[in-house]
Amino acid sequence: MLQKLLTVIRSGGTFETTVLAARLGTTPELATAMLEHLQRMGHIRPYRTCGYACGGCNLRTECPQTQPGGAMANGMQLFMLADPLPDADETKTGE
Amino acid sequence: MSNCHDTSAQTASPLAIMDVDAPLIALAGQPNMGKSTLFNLLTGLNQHVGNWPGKTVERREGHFDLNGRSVRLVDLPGTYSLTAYSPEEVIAREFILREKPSVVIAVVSAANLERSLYLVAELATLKAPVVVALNMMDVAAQEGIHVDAQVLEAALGLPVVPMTASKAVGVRELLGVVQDILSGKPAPRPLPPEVRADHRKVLDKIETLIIAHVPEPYPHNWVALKLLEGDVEVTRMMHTALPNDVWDVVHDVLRLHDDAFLAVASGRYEWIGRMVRAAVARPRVGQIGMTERLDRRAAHPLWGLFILAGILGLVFWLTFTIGSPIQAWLDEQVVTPLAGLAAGALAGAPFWAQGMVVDGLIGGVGTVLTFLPILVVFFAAFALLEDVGYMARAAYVMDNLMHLMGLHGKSFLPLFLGFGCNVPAIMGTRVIDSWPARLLTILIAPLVPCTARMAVVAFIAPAFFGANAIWVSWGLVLLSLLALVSSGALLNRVIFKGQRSAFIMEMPLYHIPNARTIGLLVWQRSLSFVRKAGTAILAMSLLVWALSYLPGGDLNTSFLARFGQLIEPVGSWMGFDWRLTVALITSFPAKENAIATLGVLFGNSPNVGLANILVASFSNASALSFLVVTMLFIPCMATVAVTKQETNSWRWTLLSVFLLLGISVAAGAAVYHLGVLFGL
Repeated sequence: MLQKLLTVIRSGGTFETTVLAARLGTTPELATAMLEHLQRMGHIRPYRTCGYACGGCNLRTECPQTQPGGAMANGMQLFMLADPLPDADETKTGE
Repeated sequence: MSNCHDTSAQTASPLAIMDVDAPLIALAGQPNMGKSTLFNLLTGLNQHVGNWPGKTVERREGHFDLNGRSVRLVDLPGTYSLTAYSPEEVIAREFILREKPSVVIAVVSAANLERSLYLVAELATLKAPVVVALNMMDVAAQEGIHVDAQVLEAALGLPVVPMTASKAVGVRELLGVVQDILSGKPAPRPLPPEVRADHRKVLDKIETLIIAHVPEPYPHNWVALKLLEGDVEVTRMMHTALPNDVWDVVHDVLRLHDDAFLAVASGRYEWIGRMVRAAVARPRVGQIGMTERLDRRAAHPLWGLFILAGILGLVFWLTFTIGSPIQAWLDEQVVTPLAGLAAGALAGAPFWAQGMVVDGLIGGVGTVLTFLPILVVFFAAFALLEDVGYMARAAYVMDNLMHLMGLHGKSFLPLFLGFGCNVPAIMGTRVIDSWPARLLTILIAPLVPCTARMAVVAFIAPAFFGANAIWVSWGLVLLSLLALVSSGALLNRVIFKGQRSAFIMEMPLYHIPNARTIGLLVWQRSLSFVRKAGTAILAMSLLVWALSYLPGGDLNTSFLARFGQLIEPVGSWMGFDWRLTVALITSFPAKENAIATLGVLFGNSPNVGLANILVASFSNASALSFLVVTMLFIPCMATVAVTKQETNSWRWTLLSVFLLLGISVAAGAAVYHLGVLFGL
């Protein structure tokens, strides 16, 4: 089941846990437990938003998105693959 | 394997020395399952807290009296499994394997068996007798979850005792089961997860190869399973223990089945699924049921988009219906009379001083401040949607759409932040690993309509389009998103070459909004707007006024007019005169400056609000074109600065600026000429 979950995620796209659970024929609670397991195994990682991304931002204290009730603080849990998919291009090409 | 060997000396605490012959009981469980509560309840003050040797992990040991017999109790660190992902997991399993406790009490949560049974699945494969303490029965009951302990016991093949440690309920029954085991009563046979048939053969082969070399006290079947799972500590131990030729064979077998660790874990989750299906009944009504019912539409790839568009329209309707009349009233009844009063009060002052206060300060900043009621309604509507849990669904359906367009999934959340302000959107791209994906997101992020742009729309759209302002605003947001998706899809093909990505969202349940949270959010956002009006907008208003006044005090011959007339030919493509063109350019420091500049430039007419003056001065086609260009124009100075900071490249920053300039001018010109064609 965990293998199937990882295969589904690796096929690419955006997934919601209840939809993932339905595709695996299980409950959202078990799907969530498996996602947490994949996170412990290092296959996926939490998607950290402002707390991490805006570390150097001067507007952080003023930014409405990070305030209580802001879009990123409303209880939505997010995960993404820890490693890019096989065809990902990881080469940084900036100046 | 230093950890393994350390643990042999770990019981040498004062308590352990005192009660060395007493039966040993281990408390195992995941974090936050109530393990420590049970430990405190049983041992009271008879406990000792220290560290596991060589570790910073806390070790708690104590003793208690069980039917006149002293019993040692060790609280193992909270662990999710017995695989060596963390020091806590190594400590817990080494203790069980080396110290051979008489009983292992596995504390699980009745409210979340799916999560807590994984550890039981691993414990059940060890030789130690396991008792399952089905804790938090009260929490499960509150959530309407019914766990049938007898069915679970039969399915697990392990004794299961329902309890609520926080209320000392079920502790006597738990100790009764422990006493039975200590007295030698035969324990039931555990029914652990089976290894899948194809991997069973591999497991048997590994076990045969290693059986003669497994160090004490490790069971060879457990070691074989851990090797198959790719456990780092066990692999290291066996690499040392096995002769080279045997290790090479084992290594080759493991390499051929390097995906077996997933199959083993999968088998455990299938087993958990069966246990839960057999013993747990969850409610399908109430909050969870409501969330599922609502999400059938709100999170649907197609219906979800229609609902999002409808909600967006509703937000605009509310904003214009409630906010715009108040704004118009403030403009006509407060700002205009205030300007008249100030002009009267400063009648004796130098002309420049009167102009600066009346046109620069009141006409510019005062006009922008009249937006506040519009923004309060707008902020409140979005805060309500965020707090109720809808914005997560909006992000989900939009992300689905972006995937269809070939855009990178991870890009959406930074873009989503852009609806508040484009600066955090660009900063938010730091979470994207792939540089081309990150660059693509940075380039298209300014096309997300931010609050400041929406404020300009909220002022101009109702003035020119009356009841149709909702449709105009809705269309403008749609146009911006269309521009974003088209540019993204195009750039994705060129730069990103269609890379796939995956993104998983666990959405919150819908819930009743909290008035305090919404109030706080509206207050913070409004305060931020007022601060901006008192700083960036004030400074720009005074500069625009000074340039419109100098050198001779006549607007038509001022430096600003000369500059405006110089660039007017470009503005005329979009139906702008020099004043609209200048207003657009002065929106660079902050988008609201466009209105502040128009307030300064048109602020000389007495007793008439700015909105009315603008309607009398420009056609609807020009107004619509101005709105389109504002939505797609070069972002504010802060956004450009952060683009430079994040790309560390002037080349990409200038590309972003010129890309947006090109898109906005082309779209503005097209809309203006189409508008004229259709008689607007």
